[in-house]
Amino acid sequence: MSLVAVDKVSFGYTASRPILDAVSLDIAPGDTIGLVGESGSGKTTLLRLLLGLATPDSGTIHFDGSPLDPRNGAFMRQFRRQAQVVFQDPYSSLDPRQTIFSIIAEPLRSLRLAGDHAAMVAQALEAVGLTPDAATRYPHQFSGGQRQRIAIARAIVPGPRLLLADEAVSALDLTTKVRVVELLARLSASMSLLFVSHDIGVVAALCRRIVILEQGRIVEAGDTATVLANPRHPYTQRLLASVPRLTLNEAST
Amino acid sequence: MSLLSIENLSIHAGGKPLVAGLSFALAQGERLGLIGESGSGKSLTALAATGLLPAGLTASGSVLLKGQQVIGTPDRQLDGLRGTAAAIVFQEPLTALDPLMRVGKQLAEPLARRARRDGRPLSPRALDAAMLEALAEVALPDPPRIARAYPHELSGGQRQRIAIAMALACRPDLLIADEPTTALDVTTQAEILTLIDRLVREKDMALLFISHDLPVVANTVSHVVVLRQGEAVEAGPVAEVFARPRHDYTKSLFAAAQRFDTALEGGQ
Amino acid sequence: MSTTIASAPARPPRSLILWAGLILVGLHVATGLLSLVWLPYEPTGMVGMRLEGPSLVHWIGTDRLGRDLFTQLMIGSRIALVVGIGAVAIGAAIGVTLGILAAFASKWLDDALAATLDILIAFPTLLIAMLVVAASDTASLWSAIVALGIALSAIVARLTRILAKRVLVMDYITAARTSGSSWPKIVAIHILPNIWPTLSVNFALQFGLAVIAEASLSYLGLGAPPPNASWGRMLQEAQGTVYTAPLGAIAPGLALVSLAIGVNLLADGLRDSIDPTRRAR
Repeated sequence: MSLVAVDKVSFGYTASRPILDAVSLDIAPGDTIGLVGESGSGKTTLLRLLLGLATPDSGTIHFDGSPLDPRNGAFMRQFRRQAQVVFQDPYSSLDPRQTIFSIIAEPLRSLRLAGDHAAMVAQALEAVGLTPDAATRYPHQFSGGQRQRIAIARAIVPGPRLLLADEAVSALDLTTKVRVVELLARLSASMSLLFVSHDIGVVAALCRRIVILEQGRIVEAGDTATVLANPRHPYTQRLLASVPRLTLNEAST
Repeated sequence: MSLLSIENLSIHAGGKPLVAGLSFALAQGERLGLIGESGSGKSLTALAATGLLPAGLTASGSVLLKGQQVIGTPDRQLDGLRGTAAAIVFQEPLTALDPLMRVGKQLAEPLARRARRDGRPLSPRALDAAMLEALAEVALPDPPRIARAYPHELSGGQRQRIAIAMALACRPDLLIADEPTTALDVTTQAEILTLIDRLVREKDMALLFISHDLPVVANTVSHVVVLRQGEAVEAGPVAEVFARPRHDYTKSLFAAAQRFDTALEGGQ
Repeated sequence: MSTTIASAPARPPRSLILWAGLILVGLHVATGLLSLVWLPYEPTGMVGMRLEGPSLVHWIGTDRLGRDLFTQLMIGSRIALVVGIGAVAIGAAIGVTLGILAAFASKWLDDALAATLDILIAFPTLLIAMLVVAASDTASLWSAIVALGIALSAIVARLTRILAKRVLVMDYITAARTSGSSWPKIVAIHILPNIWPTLSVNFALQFGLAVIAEASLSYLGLGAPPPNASWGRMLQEAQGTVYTAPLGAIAPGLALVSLAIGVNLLADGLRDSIDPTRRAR
């Protein structure tokens, strides 16, 4: 059974063009899926729907067999524990006035999870490659890449089964990007990952499956290697052709 | 003679060095990529080249732009040089444009200034025609409609095209592009890169392309300088640096880019 | 060749700001507390000649009724502190609550609240305070404080609304929601601490505003009645003799300015010392 089942979800019909138009998507336990789309594709809206921050105009979303209903408090508490998110901007995703400890411990406190919170935070810090002494410091004392690791630590601390990443490496330098992608790849061994990005190269390096979203519609989906080797939809082809490569054209050499 | 000649440029904030002993030169029609990650000082170098360093930063060394020493020269004397000798296109086109002014009017301003400076001011009608022509030159569809739009009514790619048109309005000898595609979608990035490539070639401009991304500059420039924490660690023709990166940092940048490149080729 | 393009203006060390504020405010607090248990003279008594200059008996002289100016100045410290703290506390309580509610309200309600606040702010603080005092039965120190608090609350509410909206769009708010934090918790943990630095500076400005407004209310007979000698009342009373006995106006004026500056310095210093992003790295 799928962990997440999105069935013909539409959103924003009041606009001249719907933001999402009958989108269907399944996330199996342990799956890594790259959701590729550019601005206006509706990828951020889909993510908000998946997080229960908004509800679809039509269609259904099921999590672990139960309908995702933001008004169902008991279900949402379970859901919040099991589905966590990492955002794009490492500068806006951490409260500047909180210590790293209280930032990472927030899900534990808010979801009233039992256990030794200090130990759990230390463990999460270690899992993302930071030392335990980071806990007493503040966000501004860390670089962009380190902040993104802290945001990942906050997401994994309640032990989620699904990690949603919204352009989580797009704001990072190239060398930092590689390391954070490696971290996410390692974490995805123990949880499902939905990696939302416009960067098809990163998706190729990280995700087993790929879903291409264009203007609110899924235009192509499948095994990443298969889709990249043989893109069928013209938009996928254009997307792939647009990615800058290291290979030099004959003309310029 | 070089169009832009930077020798032993250092930039300090208080006592902290941000750029140290940087030297490179750029002649008419040449294309140079300045590669570096955050904190490398690449954007500061671009600002120093046009005398636009923010207050609080100290520059030393020599920056010769079209034969004029930029460092230590009062702002007023540099005004004539900016726009005609060198113009900059920034990363974020939304903040580079005035949100309350129609883009046609914004673009007309530097065009009129250039015409006045050349001693042949344009009539309102001629200025309008020149403005529409400038919009067509950056491959914007339906120039009259775009000219009437406000920046927020345009897409990121369209805004960047306007910013490029404004940079070209004074017909500069050197175009400085500071991460001009970083805020854009991949497909839009490809279009803007093609546009910059074509314009630089057609107008025989020199290009200083600043980026954190090796693949982006790979096919846009002929030479690269790799910056790390304010120091140039490697420089040379693109083909040579790409084929045989010598410095460890260049190698790590290269390996990072290659990681995603090969993944795309299907070799995860 | 080398040149300095510009250097940022030097700011005094934050400990100096904090200490200067503490000393100025502390002086007024000490004087105000002392005035409760000891005064050099009977405040309303005509204890000297009219308009005496400074002397060992009357340190800064007497007013036109022969009352000791220093005695009145001491009471004035107490009144000013009570008015300033009281009015800002009331203004903050009402204003912050309204501002936060507006930031969370539906678009329609938010627009209505924002328009109402804009209209209220268009009226001078003093005018609103006068209306509130007039609506209450008797003019007293407390009715003046409540009136000033209500008048200030519109300014606080508008500022809080804007600041809270700016914080609400940050990703850490969404992260808190997906972490299961409730809205009240998000307000307490994330929004208030992040808008506090700007709010506190504003409160300090309003403290000065309230003290000055109280002086004006007193002049109009709507402020604290005697024997509550406020600095404002002293200033108004010294108006006629400002050329012959300038000290009667200068002394309360200096007291008022020193307290206003002290409160601003204190707020600045406190903000810097509690803000983690401003502390040394």
